Amino acid sequence: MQSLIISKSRLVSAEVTATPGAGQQYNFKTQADLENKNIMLYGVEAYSESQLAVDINGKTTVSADGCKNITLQLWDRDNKKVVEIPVTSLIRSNNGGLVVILKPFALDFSKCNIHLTAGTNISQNETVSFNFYYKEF
Amino acid sequence: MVNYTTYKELYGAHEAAGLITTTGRPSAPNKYLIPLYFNETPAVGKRYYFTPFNDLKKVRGIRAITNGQTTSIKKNGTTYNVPTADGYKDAVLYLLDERQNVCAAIPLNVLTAEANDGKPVYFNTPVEWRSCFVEFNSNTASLTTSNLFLFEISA
Repeated sequence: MQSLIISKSRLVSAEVTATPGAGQQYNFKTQADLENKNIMLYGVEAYSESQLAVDINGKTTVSADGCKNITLQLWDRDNKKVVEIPVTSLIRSNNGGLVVILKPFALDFSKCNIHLTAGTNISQNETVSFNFYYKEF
Repeated sequence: MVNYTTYKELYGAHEAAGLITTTGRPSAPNKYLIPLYFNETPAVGKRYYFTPFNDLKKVRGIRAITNGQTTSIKKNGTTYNVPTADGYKDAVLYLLDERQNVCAAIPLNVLTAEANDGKPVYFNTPVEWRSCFVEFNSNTASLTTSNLFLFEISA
């Protein structure tokens, strides 16, 4: 089994700003270190309320049950959606303690978002937090 | 971008680039058990710094020790209790290099064996330890001055 080695990481979060419902998409809050930079993303991890009670912006994190209704969408700089994956699949404790490793790609952070497949067990103003593991190029 | 046809090729390229490693104990010549005391009830948004530790220039692995491994530490006659894994879910560890740039930010809970199934969390991160800190986003676990965080650092 292979474990990810953390070179650089940034915590990012996306807030559910409306009454939660299926089909909604929410972009990430500003993260200057990832925007308009040459970022090669090679790993991603998600945190529910069980791992991080409150995010770095002071917002309550979505519960583990709520994460079952959310997917993460990642886009590259060629305007291509390269990853769409359930948030629960990105929680380390659901993967035997391992972080999900990606084929490295040039990230377009401004396009990335979360997608709600249902609104159940999610409240307005809650956030989903992720750690993006990357190298600069 | 390189196109990999097999997972073996992909993992081989990752390993060569130092992005992944085969899971095991972090291979490091030095291991340190480092406590982080609070001189007040932990406050949201406040940074808590470690005691200066000049030898630490690079971090290869970190584990957060919970009361499942060690229940308490005694210092100068005072007992400090080690929290459960839930007690670590309110705070984030920030690792900074000598230019004061944040290299990595990791929620403490995922450094515990309870959250990562005992897998080490690996780093390849140059640090200036006196600049590294823990910041609380909340204190849902109601930690007080009688608690401490305890870390096993591989360097």
